[in-house]
Amino acid sequence: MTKIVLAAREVRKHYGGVRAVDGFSCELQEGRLIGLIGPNGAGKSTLFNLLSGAVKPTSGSIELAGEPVAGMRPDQFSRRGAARTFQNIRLFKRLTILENVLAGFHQSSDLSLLRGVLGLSSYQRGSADVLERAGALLEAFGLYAKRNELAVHLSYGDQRRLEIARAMASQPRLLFLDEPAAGMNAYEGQQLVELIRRLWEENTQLTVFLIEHDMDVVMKLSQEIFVLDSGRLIFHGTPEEVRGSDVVREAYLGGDLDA
Amino acid sequence: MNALRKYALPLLVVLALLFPLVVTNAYYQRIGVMSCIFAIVASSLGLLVGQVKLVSAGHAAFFGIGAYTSALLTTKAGMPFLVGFAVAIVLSGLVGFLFSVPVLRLKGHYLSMATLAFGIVAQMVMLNWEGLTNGPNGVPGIPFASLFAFELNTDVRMFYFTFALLALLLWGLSRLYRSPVGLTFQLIREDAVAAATLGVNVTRYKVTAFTLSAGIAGLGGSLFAHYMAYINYDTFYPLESFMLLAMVVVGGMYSLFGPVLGAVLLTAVPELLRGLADYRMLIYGVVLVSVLLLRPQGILSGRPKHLELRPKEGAKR
Repeated sequence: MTKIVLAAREVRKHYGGVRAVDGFSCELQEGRLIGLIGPNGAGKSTLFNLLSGAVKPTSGSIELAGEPVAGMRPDQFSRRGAARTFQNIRLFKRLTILENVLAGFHQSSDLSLLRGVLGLSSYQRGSADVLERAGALLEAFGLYAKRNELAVHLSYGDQRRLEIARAMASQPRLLFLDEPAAGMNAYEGQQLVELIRRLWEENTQLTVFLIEHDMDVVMKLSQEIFVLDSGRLIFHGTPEEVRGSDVVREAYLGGDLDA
Repeated sequence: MNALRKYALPLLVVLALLFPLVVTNAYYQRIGVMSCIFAIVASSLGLLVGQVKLVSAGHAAFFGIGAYTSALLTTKAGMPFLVGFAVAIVLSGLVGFLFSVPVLRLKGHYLSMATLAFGIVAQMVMLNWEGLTNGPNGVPGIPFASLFAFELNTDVRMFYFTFALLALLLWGLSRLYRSPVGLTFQLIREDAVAAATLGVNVTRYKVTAFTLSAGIAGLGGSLFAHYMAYINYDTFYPLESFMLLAMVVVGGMYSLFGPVLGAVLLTAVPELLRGLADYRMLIYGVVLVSVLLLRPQGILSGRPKHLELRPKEGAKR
């Protein structure tokens, strides 16, 4: 029996009269690579915000590794193993690439105020386990050479990669990727697919949950796919099943067109 | 440029140490002491505004709480200076903590409005709680600061004392800004949402910064009270909070030394312009606006050094 990393039951998010997510349930198993697709406005990003703790649900329950977390703050989600990237990249732009990754190591850093003021914290002593791990992570993502540059100066593709590296620094059990290939050309997209697959393979317990518009990317990467439309789950299955599903085709193309 | 950077700091320290020996005019020495005190208070605000992006428009309140605490403990309760000084830091920090816990739920302009209101209320309390603060009469006869038996009863002694405290503060802040806690402050400044998803308890760090900042402002207040020998509510008026903000912004809020430079300029320039009588404030205003127009990032635009990772000897990367 594989472990359930995340379980959601009847999660809803209503903004006034708008039902952005209207009763979503799922169980995500440890070590899976899972896709989330759906037409524009289906509520994918809202669902991600709910499951990663950025937004509190109107109702419903969410469990991370068996512990109820609905209504908790995002940092509490993070402490329980969730990490994410954003559709519109959110790096710490005026900090360096190294500092961005160190941010991901927040929870494993020496957060004593006193030692910090006295210059005895891990960074300052240079002994720094955290610094070395940050260096290793940057190497794995091919960003080591640029470590002392400001994040704002990175190319778009590198910014995407840095955001994933930063998320990985928090050693998540569950990684949410919100449209990681958005705005990339075919080549960059292909490289990203390989990066995500490698990450997932190297971290056997890591569950990756990704939103992606590019069907090629989703179909290539995912072991299972959730399909969302109008805030509801309309289909769940393997990429082949999704490809063959009439319900999914209808949601994307509109029912009458299909006739 | 590098040579300049390398020697600028020791040079400035030497100049500052020589200042009261070379400049024997009591009036200029007073400006020196006041510059040090306001540099301390402005640096406390720099921590909030420049590192965490919490714009407090009521920081004179904490400056005032420190001043009153120390003044009242030494005059009414007969405590020695060092006790008043220590309690001033702790109490203004505590008030900062109690104030910030509910108020830091507010963001941006709303937070600034709340701190402004706090500044006004604090001043009203100083004015109207006559039983404690003597109301409009203020607190006269505050004793000199003293280190046990050694009285800091001259401008020169007080200059060295305040300068030493300023140096100690900057030493601590420069380390703090490069520590994991300092980096966390900067993450909140850059993007609080992203920081939270990485496990940063944003409110907790904001409260930490606010408490620390209020305590340091209170330290400045205590020094101010014992140096002036007399305080009343009038010194801690809301506009003073904006003067402090102006020091931080003009000097450069991201830089460690920015608030110090701002404090020295805004303390010294109005005094140096005193000969121009009525035109003084006009020129002062023009200078202020020009700086903001020409260098909106402040005169010192650099930020504390970034953290760096150097490859180890022999390691191949």
